[in-house]
Amino acid sequence: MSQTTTQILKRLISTTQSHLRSCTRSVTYMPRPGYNAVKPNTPYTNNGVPRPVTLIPGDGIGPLVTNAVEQVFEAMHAPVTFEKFDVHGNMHRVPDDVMDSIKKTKVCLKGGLVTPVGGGVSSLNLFLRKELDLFVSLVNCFNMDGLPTRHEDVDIVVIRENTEGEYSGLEHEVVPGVVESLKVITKFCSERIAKYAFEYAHLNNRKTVTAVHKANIMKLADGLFLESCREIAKTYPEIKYNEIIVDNCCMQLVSKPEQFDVMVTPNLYGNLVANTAAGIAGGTGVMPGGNVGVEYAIFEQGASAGNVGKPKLVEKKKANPVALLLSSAMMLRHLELPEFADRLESAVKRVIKEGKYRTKDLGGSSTTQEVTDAVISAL
Amino acid sequence: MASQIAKRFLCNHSSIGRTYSSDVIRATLFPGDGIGPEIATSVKQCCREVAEKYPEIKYEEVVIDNCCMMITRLVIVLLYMQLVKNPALFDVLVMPNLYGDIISDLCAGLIGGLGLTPSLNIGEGGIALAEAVHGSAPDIAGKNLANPTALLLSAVSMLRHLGLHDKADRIQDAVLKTIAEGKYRTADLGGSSKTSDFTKAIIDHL
Repeated sequence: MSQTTTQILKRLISTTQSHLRSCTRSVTYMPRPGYNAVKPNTPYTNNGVPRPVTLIPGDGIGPLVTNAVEQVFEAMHAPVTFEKFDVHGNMHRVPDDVMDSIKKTKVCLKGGLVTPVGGGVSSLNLFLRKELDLFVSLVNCFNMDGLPTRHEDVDIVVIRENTEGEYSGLEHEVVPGVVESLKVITKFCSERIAKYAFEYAHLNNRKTVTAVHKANIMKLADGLFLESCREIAKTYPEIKYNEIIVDNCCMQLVSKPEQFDVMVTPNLYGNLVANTAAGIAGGTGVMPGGNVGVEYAIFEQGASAGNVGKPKLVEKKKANPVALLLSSAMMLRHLELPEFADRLESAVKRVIKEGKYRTKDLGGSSTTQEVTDAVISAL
Repeated sequence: MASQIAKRFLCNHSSIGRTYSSDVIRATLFPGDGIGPEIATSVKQCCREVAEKYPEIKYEEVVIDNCCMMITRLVIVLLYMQLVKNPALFDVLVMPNLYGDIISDLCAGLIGGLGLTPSLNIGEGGIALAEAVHGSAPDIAGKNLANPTALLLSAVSMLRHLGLHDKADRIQDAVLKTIAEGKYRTADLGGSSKTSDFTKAIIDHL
């Protein structure tokens, strides 16, 4: 990372320390991967001039929850303007004007895009990640006050490699009835994801990084991933590093999730582990997450980005906006606006703690609008 | 291959009969999540073909959702979420190798751990290998501390495979009764009995 960025980060972390003690969870400070450190052309904040951010409402419940975010941002007077674009999951590719906008603003907030199962159309979520080289997918799963789950003290961050592995998209039918699918693991991608994971742990005062793998079966592929993690671990001696096989990991997640801190995984396992962890800690309706690359970042609901809810949810307007609100708080931190991020996060946490306005997946019966209004009044 | 797996599962179910409390045996199919659309289609096709041959077993491809069971496609990530939130929704699960490995361990964690989970590996021509899901546990080997439930229940599945249902039922009832009573429990279930004591208690219940 460049020198000035590190200084800004240090200053911001120290100012948020006192706030940290009042919150029971750590700041979700996402390092900007300085792998090929290129200073962005547009400075992140323009000292008061509202910063444009691309907004993709998406399908299903997407427009509902992004609308909630827009309302809350307006109420907070956050210096952010949204450039809205209509993208739907059944388009063949993301339209060029959307891509241009993201390349200009460098930050995007997104609702879910439907992924058709089977058939020929590939996932647009995947397309965006590959095109913009968003190699990190970060999901933060934590217990929230007022949302009792089977396990306490859960605070897991799943850092998942986002571009290669089982999602390379390389499949072919060798002969009718026999299909081959290629899983590609490269040293370059494994190293940079490991580096990001350790840097994240370092910046957020996390103690352990766990690598999730299946190297007993896929000796070469996951073996390469593990080797890269081990090498990077040596450069961060103060952070503990351990490895766990993915099936044992899932079992431990459902019985003793408190033992995990930061987890770094290849693509497929990360998807599964992140969703499992989200289910443990309260559901995909409340977990924030984001996809980060060297130059761009897209923030969306943490887990299950391809799930856009049932049509009934959309009709009755009962989708849960908490996940996207918390992801937009992460986005505010990425934009170096931590005061707004803190305000938003405390408001959301307060609403959940009070428990009066909760959507169906959290056991209540409020609509999206009611939850949004509650958050606005708690600001 | 996929058609053989589907056939085997549905076959076993019709021979075992209603072993589940729900009246309908649902076979739920999981294709991959956005990856392997070709694989998913071929597996689905096979399952559909086989399901037609067993009309008494209700076959669904389901999307798990909080509200209801509509007949649509299932995506595996929703499965993971649902498994940890509401595992009672599921009955029989059919899936490819890797997902099966992960999910079987995940479900083992949900029901109380590896000490209790049996398994049966089935091949062509009726060859079957019954084994416990757990490994060799070198740290407690030779100390009379292990939980025999997993292997006992695997042996029960083996007996069922051989058609000896009454004996299988006897042993299964004895095991479940012993665990339900709670007097003899091995260390992994929170008790302090030895393997030999636990086994004796099961024999007493036969």
